[in-house]
Amino acid sequence: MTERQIVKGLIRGDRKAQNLCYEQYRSTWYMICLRYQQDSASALDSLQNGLIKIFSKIKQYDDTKGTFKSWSSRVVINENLMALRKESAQMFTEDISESYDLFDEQASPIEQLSAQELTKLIQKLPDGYRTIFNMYVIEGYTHAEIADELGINAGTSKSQLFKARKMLQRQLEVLI
Amino acid sequence: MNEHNQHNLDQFFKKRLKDDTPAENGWNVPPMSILDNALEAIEPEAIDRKPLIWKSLLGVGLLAVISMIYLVSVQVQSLNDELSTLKQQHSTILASQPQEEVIIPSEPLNAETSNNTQTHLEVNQKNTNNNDTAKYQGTIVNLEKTSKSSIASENGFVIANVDQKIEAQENNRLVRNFDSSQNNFTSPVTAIQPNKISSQLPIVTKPTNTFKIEKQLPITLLPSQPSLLSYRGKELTMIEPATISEDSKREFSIYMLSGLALSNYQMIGAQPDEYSLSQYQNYRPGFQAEVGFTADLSDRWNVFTSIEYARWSNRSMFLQEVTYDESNMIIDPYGVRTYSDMIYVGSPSSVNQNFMEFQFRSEEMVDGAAMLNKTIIEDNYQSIGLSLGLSYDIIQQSRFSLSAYLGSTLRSTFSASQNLHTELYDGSLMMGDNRTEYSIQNQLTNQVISGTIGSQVSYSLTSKINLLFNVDYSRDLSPINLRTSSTSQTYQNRFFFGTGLAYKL
Repeated sequence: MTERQIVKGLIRGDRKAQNLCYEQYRSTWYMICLRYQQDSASALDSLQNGLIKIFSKIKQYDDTKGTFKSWSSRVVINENLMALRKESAQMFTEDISESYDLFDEQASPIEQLSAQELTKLIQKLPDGYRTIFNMYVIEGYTHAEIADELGINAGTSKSQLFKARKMLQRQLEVLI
Repeated sequence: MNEHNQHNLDQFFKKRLKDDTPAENGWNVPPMSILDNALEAIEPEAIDRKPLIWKSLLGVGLLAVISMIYLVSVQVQSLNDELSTLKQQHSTILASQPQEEVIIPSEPLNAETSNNTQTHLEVNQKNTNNNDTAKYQGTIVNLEKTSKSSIASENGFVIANVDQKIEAQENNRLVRNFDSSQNNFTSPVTAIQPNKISSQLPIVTKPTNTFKIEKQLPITLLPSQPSLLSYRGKELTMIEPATISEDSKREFSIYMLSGLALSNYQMIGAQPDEYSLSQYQNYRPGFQAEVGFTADLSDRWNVFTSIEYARWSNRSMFLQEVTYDESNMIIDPYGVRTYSDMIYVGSPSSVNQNFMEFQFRSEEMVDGAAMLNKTIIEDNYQSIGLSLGLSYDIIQQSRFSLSAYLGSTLRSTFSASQNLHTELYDGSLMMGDNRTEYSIQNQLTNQVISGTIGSQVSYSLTSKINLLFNVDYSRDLSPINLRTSSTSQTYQNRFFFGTGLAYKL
């Protein structure tokens, strides 16, 4: 079944299409949730809510604007952002940029770390750091887009990203 | 961390985490039960329930208004029919009366008005048989007052109520006495002492008579209770052809209202990457005041215009302590102690913050505090508007009236947000300095058009002052484009519960 057929099936509410869709994209969606949430239980909650949103808003999907995978991933990302926002009214605090040790990928054995371990490192970040790190580094948002999406200043986004990188670097140093 | 290392770190994470193939150990594979739970939670009917509720309410409201208008028109038609019947009876009775029972004073009346005159009434009576005329002048001192304080003119007739009391002063004689307890004339023709007339006197004259109201009556002569009188065993009605001065038809008032305004923002047309409509229902209480002017168009229709001001203000405080685990110099996310004693309301200047949260929570702290963040946010949202509309009096009673109104408002909305942010470091781990930031943002959003439907209860305190109670619902007909890049549109719904006073000019 092609992506287009799956989408048509979802619009009809076809259970077979829903199963196929879930089996095909569940890892993609779940990894997003794991990165944005602090634990797997919260990630599963967000995934479930994201699924509800995807199935109920499927008619709004426009295949001329992108693939179903990217559209559904955006839905899941936004579901995670909203869940985080509900948990914490003030995720983002201004901070001061500091100079820290260099991160040199070639000089460290961190290549050995698995995606699961990296995901756990990200999960340890505070909500604000984790959210902005995911949006900027993984999803490819710009600081302006993040600021617009989260209702914060672009400077806040930059400083949060800087601190997120700094903390990840320190955690990597501890691990290796 | 220089740019090269930042890039390396970013690429490292991105490369590893973008690989979303299911892992062998299943760490990134969610169970199928999630799909089952999601499908169970989806109720097809529930998806569009909100619009259906609004449509249903609108339909019910329209049906109610149409029903009320129909019932009122039926009642008016019934009254008109009854009026016609009574008029016919009256004409028949008058025509059958002996000629000598038409009361014609022997000489013109020399009217005097009493000191406590409220209304001066002048009646010219003409005997069609011999063209003799009589003039009655006097005062109406105890007629029912209504909130509208107008003269009802129905097909050119004025109908007086049974309980109206007329004190007339004549130089010559009393035309007739009326005993209200027996609902009958006690004496059809009675000689009287000059300047000594005080009787319950209904106005019963021939159709050629006219009333001249020399000043606006603080009364309403309602057609709702046509009075039946008996005269020598025959029924009479007090139906009078009347000419009412133009001044008495129009009534102008100014009014002032203030009260609670419950505001709700609703997003329409949200794209998948935005938040859904059902998740953006944001209610916030506020204050609204308005001053206005109203004028009668007819007996029941009125036009009004008003200027309104509304304001919503919310103050929120957020206190956060960030703690550190000294062993590995890593901020422990579970060591963050958060105090939040506020109702956080996002500024309407950002759709993403356009929600309300109640937060009364605290989390345990692991180690000593290293940084304290304190943020106070104050959001003010204000709007001014100019309204124009029509109202229809559904019920008119002596002191009480109920009206429904429809209006349209042009509103300008403003938002202002103040943010006071303080960071305090204990100096043990963080290298930052204590600092305080204060920012204030003012934003003028665009103008919107709103439609309003509501009802008003009016109660006459005095002949000039009415007490008002208003309930209305207003809905933006054009969106508040809070964020031009957004494909969604935000509309405001507003419920207003107000009270105030009206003063008749």
